[in-house]
Amino acid sequence: MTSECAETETGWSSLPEEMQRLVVDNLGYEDRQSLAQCSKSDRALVRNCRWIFDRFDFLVNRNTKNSIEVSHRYSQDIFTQMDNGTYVERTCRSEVETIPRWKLFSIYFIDNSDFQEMASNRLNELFKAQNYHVHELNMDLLTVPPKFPTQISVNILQIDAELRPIQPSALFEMVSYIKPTVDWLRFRIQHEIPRGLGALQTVRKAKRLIFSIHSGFNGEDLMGVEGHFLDIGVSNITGNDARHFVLKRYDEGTECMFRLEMQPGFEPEFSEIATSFDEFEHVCGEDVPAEFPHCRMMHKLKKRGRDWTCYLIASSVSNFIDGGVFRDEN
Amino acid sequence: MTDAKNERQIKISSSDNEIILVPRNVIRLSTTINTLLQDLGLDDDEATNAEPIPVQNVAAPILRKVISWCQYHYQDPVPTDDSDSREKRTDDISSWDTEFLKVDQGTLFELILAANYLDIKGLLDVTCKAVANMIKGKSPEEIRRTFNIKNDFTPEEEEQIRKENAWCED
Repeated sequence: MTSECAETETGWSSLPEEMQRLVVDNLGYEDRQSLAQCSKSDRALVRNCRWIFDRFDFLVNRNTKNSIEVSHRYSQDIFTQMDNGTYVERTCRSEVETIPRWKLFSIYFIDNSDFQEMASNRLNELFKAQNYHVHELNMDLLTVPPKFPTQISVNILQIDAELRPIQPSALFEMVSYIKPTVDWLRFRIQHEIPRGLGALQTVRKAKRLIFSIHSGFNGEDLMGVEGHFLDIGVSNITGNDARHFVLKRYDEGTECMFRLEMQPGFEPEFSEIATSFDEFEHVCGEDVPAEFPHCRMMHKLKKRGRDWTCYLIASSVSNFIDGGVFRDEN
Repeated sequence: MTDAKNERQIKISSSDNEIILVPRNVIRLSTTINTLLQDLGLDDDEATNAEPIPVQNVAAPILRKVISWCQYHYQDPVPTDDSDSREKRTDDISSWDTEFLKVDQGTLFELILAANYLDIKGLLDVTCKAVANMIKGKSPEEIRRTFNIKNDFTPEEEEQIRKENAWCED
């Protein structure tokens, strides 16, 4: 290096925080964490710098050595996919499609009481860095869920969670701090949905809901769901519940499309469903395609001068009930 | 690039009272000076004949470096306001800027301060990237050595931080 100017006592700490922030803006996650370990002021600086990542995964698993593996990863649109399938660094944003680049951090924890607090602290820190707005949160929790922050709420657009905990309160803990504004919710759990604060409301408010649960979600719960796209695995819902749901949506004038995964051995209640459509003013009825031999329930309905299509298709072979309420284009 | 030397020049006075002539088109990159001239109601002709503009926070050696940067970049497209907080690229510094920024750390920091004071976005961006590059890939101890940062954590705090940041280790 050459020195064209007189030496001064200038150093990192002499830079105003505003300038330091501009520097930190150019750093990724790992480098920020390294800087944060330098001094107390640098730690505060990094914590005060906002940083957005597009996607955030938080994974918790117990490995074969009986320790807990925790990892989180984030992505940023830094790399581009070329036509030949190779990934190159972005040179021109407008010419090529960006794809996520993944970074994965892992650590192995001994299964002890420190884990939950550390995981909670880390989540808090990450959420704070995101200004409590996270686009997508993937969670895979096995046996030992972290304590989730209870003093904050997080605005998360997409949640993908697989919960296989021993403690049935895990789901409750997770969703109780999430604002019930999630656009896309995918839950795969093996136990009943908690009836407490937050959990059921989050499920009801999700615009797109993929919800795998084996029990505890009944017809009454279904009626409260507001989403437009629903894929729900349940056992306590009948064909009659589906009928009521379609009627309710039709009456409200809110479109939806849903599939209810029924238990094996489910018997489609054809006559019951068919009877339900007698309540509508039938404009026309259409035969269901041959791939649905067990039911033919597609009806075009008229409401307030506009055409609507409502349908229910039940299959005892695939154990599902499909339904939908749509306002016709014309 | 046109020859900026033939254009109208204005006088700038550094913090150490040195008068420096700079083409009007070149110093146009400084929003601070542009705003000052507008506030004084001086058009380009009047600015050429006006008293030196005081730049009280920047010494002459740094001011000359800043003007040198502006002379090379004054015809660049206006940088867009990149307000999002995603990680930014720091590997896109041009070869000319790379050479320009081969200065000691003190000078680099003074360039940042000058760019900020004079509100020259392009120079501020590239100098901050250069400092970021000095941080990237380094351990905390290496960063401390690079920037002469005093470690003011207690041993207990260091242990706690070490445990917390074990998340980031492979």
